[in-house]
Amino acid sequence: MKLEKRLVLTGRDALKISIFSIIATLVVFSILLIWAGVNPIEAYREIFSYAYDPRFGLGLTIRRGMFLLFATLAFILPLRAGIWNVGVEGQFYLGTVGAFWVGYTLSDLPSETLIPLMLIVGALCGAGFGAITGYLKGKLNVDEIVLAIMLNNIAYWLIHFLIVGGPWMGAAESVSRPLPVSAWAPMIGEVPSTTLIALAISVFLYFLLTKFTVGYQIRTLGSSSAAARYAGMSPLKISLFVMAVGGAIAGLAAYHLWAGDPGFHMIPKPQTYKQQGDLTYYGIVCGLLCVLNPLAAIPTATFISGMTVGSTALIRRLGLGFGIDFTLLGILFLSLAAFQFFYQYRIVRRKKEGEVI
Amino acid sequence: MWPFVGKSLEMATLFMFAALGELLNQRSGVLNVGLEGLMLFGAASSFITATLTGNILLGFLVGMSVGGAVGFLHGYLSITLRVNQVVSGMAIWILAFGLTTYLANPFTGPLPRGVSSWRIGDLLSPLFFVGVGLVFVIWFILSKTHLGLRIRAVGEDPSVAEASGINVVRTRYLCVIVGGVLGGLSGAFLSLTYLGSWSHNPVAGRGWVSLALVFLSMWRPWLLFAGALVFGTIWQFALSPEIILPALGLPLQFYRMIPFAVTIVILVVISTERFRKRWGLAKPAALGLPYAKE
Repeated sequence: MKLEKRLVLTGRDALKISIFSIIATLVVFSILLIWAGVNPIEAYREIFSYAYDPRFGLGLTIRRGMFLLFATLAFILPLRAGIWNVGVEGQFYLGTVGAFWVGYTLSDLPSETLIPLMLIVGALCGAGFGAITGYLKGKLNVDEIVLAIMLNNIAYWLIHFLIVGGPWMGAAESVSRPLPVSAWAPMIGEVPSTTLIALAISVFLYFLLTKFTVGYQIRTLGSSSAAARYAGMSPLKISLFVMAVGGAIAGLAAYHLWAGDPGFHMIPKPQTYKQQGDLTYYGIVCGLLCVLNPLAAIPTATFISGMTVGSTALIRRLGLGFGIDFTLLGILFLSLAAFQFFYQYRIVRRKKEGEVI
Repeated sequence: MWPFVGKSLEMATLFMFAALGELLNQRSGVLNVGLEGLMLFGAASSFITATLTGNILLGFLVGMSVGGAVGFLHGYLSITLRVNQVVSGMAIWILAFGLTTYLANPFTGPLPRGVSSWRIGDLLSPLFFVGVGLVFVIWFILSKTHLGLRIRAVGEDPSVAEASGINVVRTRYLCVIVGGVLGGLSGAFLSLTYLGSWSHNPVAGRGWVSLALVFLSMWRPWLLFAGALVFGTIWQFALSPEIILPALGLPLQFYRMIPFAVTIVILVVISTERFRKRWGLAKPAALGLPYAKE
């Protein structure tokens, strides 16, 4: 056995590495479970049987899976151009502001016009917010990670202002007014029809990145900003474009979540909307797991969603503490980081002197 | 008024510890965006220890050790395994977010009676002066000693440093571990002294602002000190604006946005070309790049 530098990383290699990092995560998580006094086999059975059972978690798994898909796609596109979009949380909040503003002010409109308007304005608000980061990154090379986290916090307090003591304050304490019924997302069973939008964007991004000039430009900027400049591409335009589109996708997630989940139909109290905002960070893990491939993002996001939905079952049924789902995600993220080592190196077995399989 | 000054200086102390550790990291070429996570780990472990043992000092020691261990973990991933440092740092942050919530949630509430940090005249923790001392020490090491020269060389061009006989790996490990200890100390100071209690996610963005502070300081310890004082005051003002401006009557949420908005404005200003050409030269050229001895 010996380490060898990898010359190319094929899609299959990357898939293998992702699967190994998931297995490693489940092993490490088992240790934590045993330490907490829970049988890991039972816990995993609990996770998967709850998450994929139509009587229990399946509806939520798909709804959340599509929410994660929006978040993942919003993360993938900018990173293809080398820009870390950790501002999905803030773009999602701004999408919330846009969608609810339309939902409240134009509530007399029929569903057929109201819902598309909410989606469009939500997407535009998200895009505008993302574009701030894109512009400053492209123009001045401001550190996009710190910048986006600051914007996330500002967006958090903006929603806080709107619903706690602000103009959208509802009857109950610290929640917004409910959305009018005409603004609710049409459902296909337990799943909102916005699911189709998420799937369509996956396909669209896949073709954009592989078949169109702009996709080629994005990938060039991602691998070398000098090369992109020499080839006459404008880093500023590309960076604006990817962040605005990423922000728009994150903005769409807001309507999907709030209007498509029968449990919401309003902005819940700060603690709860913050929890949903925190979920957007799962998009980073999903995006890295599927090696920034928009089509592979669909099964990845659904799988990760199942893990989070299932681990909330652990909290309830097996009495494990609050925070266990994010711990699972953290371990997955860390293991994925460690396994990235194999993006550059691979293990080869030595058969005979000089001959390598 | 005096309690406000004391609290502001304590907030500045927090920023000083965390940002100084990160500055040392970055001067050696390692970027740790998981600073928020380091602080969370330090805050939770020290709080749990102090609650269980009733010993504040032990709490601080555990917080610093855990910080050092997490710093080592980041070092292992980014120096030895050479993975993307942003991925590794983000992973540490997300893990800290989940694990500290899971472990420390049962301890939600104030420290037990009789367990509290000592303050000078009930106003200011003596650790503020430790922080000021540390600024001096780090400045002295970085600019006046052989060790500092080594650290800066490793951060500028590791292969040249290696060729001149410096052990790049060992120097970087030293910096990430010390940086981790300082991040843990900052977290411990937050939960044991500044807040004296635990609630969900107590760091609340301070780690990210500390990371920004390192950029804003342009990697100079004394500018970092000045920045920490300014941000400590701004953050404290955002928490309790009524002490300074009783009559303004803006909604509370707008004050809470101020530290983040100010950070953005300063980040943008220092990123302008004029500014960068004149002042930004201290940025370690190899920052964030993995180093492989070929």
